[in-house]
Amino acid sequence: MIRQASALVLVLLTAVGLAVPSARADTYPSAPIRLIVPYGPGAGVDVVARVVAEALSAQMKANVYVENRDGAGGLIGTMAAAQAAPDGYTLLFASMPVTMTQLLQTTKTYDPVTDFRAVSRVLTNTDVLVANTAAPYKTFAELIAYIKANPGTVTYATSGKGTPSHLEVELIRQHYGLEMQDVPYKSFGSALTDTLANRVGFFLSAYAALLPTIKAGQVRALVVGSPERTEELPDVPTLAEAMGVPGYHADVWYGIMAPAKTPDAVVAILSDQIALAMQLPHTIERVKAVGAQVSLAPAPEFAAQVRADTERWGRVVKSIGLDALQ
Amino acid sequence: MEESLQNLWFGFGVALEPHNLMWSFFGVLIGNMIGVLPGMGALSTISILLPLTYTMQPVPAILMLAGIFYGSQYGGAIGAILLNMPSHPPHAVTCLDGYPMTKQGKGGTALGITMISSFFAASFGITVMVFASPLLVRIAFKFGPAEMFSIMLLGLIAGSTMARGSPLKGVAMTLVGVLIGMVGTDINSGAPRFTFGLVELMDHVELVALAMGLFGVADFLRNVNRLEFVGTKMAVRFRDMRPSLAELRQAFFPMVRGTLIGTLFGAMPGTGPTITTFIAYAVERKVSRTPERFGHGALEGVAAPEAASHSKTQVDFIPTMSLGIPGDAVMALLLGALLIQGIQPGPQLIREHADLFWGLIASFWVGNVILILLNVPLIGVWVKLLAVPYRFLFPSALFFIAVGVYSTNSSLFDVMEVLFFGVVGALFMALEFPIAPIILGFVLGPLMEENFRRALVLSHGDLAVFFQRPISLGFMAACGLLVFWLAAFGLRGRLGAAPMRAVRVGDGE
Repeated sequence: MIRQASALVLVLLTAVGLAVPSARADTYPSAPIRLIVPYGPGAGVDVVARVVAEALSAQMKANVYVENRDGAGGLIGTMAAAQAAPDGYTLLFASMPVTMTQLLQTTKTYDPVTDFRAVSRVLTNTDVLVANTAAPYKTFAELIAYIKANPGTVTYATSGKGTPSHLEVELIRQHYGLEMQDVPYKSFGSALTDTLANRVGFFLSAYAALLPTIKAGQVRALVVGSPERTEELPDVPTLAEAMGVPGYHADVWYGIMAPAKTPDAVVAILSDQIALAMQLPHTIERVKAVGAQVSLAPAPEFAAQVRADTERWGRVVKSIGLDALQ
Repeated sequence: MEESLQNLWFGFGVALEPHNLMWSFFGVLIGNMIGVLPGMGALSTISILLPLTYTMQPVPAILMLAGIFYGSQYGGAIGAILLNMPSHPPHAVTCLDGYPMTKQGKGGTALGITMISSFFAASFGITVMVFASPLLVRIAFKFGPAEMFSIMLLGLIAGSTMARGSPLKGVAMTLVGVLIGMVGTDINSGAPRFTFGLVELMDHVELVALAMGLFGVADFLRNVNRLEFVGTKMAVRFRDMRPSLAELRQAFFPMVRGTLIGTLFGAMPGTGPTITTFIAYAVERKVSRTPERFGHGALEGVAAPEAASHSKTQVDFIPTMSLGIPGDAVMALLLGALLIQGIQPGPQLIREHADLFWGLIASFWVGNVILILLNVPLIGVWVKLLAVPYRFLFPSALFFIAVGVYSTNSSLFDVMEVLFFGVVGALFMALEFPIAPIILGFVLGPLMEENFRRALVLSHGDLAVFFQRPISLGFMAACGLLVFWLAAFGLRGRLGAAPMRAVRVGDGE
């Protein structure tokens, strides 16, 4: 009996030993790495995360697998990642909304700055502002003039309160002191439908998702959020040009974050490996095919960006009282 | 017209290429096998299997997914009819008459009719897709928030009074459904409602958990220790499983009506398949000369909603593929699958990826044929399941419900939800409150609210918007007529209930 029990304990210990790999940097990675995507399979973030996971797997010669933890606008998966063991074997595939979602909650959920270590920014996805071709404005300047001339009547579609498509426009609104009405939609699809049917004034959303409709001439692109004009729409000005504010941009970044106590050495290895994997021509091609752009930033620079964004969106959310709603 | 035929021919060439055909078959097979497990709806089956296709070539990947979709949908119907477990919400309506049929030993017939109806409806939907898609796309744009609200209101009124027994109880249960639908984040303000501080409730109550709890688990709680077998214990002969000629004739017109209703709703993206099936069922009950048979195993009550859900789904592919606007959650997943292949759905999809688009359309049809070939022999196997004693069959089913619901979001909370709604459902059943209207209210309530508020935001608060637009006005008028008719009928029924019932029974026999 005792022998059996001790054998069992031995087996268990071995199993535990195998299951919990050490966080020692000289052997990292020695086990599969779990990349938590806080959205469901097939969602925009999931699609790019799969491409990054594939590239990283090949580069690190370790299995980097995606685990979808959908729910509460990304809160559930992000919180799961924040609470995971800080050994480098659980990572978060974060996107810019990770600096927004927690601002809308009254209870403490997570803090993107203190609960995580920024490992590396990987990609960006620019935004584009579109309007129906029948709208009375054809350029960004005309749009602003029209809103000023008709205060409170122009509507714009968003993917919900406190999402990039809402808060980016809110920033522009505050810059010009405009009066207009946001119309929240549950899905990108229904927001696009109402833009195509000319029921809403304009819509700011992901460039890649809107490009087919722009190319087909069903909507007009007024301005892009990228720092430079895009290859496909060379005639459409950037926000920085249109607003006359150098450096102004509206885009969504994607990056890899790790639980706060992940050791420096592991973060350094990961950051280097990501940089190598994402610079391969094959990877750049794949990323482009899913509508994003490789845009690397090492750990310190990425951490600064996360901090800056959290502060920026915190101010916007506070200014429109979204944080006091609940 | 001729061009469409040529394209379709080209599509069949793609779909029938041996390796593509193999993936289609494989998709239908695993979709069917997983979909039949209680708790695994089409949505969860696809989202679990979706990552499998990420490494495949675009054409076989999307063909396989379409196959999984068909297979899981039909698999879901099996669970709904034989075990009263609707893992795919549109099947909640099928349960109403499908399960009573099973209890009468006619489960095989119900499965056969389901298969025929879905094949007919899908074939019709595909034809519409090929020849009428430009027209349908134009119609789709006519449906703004005001129109959506009006049609949902009509659906809610028609659906809530269709249940057996007191219409008042039906309306009450619909409102319970609407209330449950309120739980979660309000999209207009971003504020959480009725979430009790639980992060898990911010995304609303899980539909599959609600349906499985109210139907399957509640039924289990009511029947445990009372039933030895589901249905009759008689040995099932193969001949009993095939619907007879008379039954086919009986199901024919309901099937056609269901198909047309589904096609109509398919032109309105965003309405979803659940409302479609409820309307189809309500229509059947209204046109039937023997409405009292509904709820007791009426064949029409299986044929019409199944046909409606399949033609709706099929026609829904038009906005999904040609505009990049998904009709429902399942379509949204399929769009994601295209994205990972580097294919951006939208107006240019048909031109830029002709092989994929027409191959997919052809494979819809091929998938349906495979489904029939696969399931004709399998019906016997499914029905044999019922020969397993209740004390083994239902605990196993419960196990699969728990696993299925858990695996969709990897969340134990969802499993608790199933249990909770099981108890609630058993309570309602004991008090003879109908269950199906809860599902209707749950699905339609939030959609109605969303469109109502959006219409008002867009009209700057002017309520007249619902009566100024012709389509919306038409639906509003229909709502008014229906309420008036129900009120008048209810009053008359109360005054002269006894003589009327006598006449009705005489009619039926």
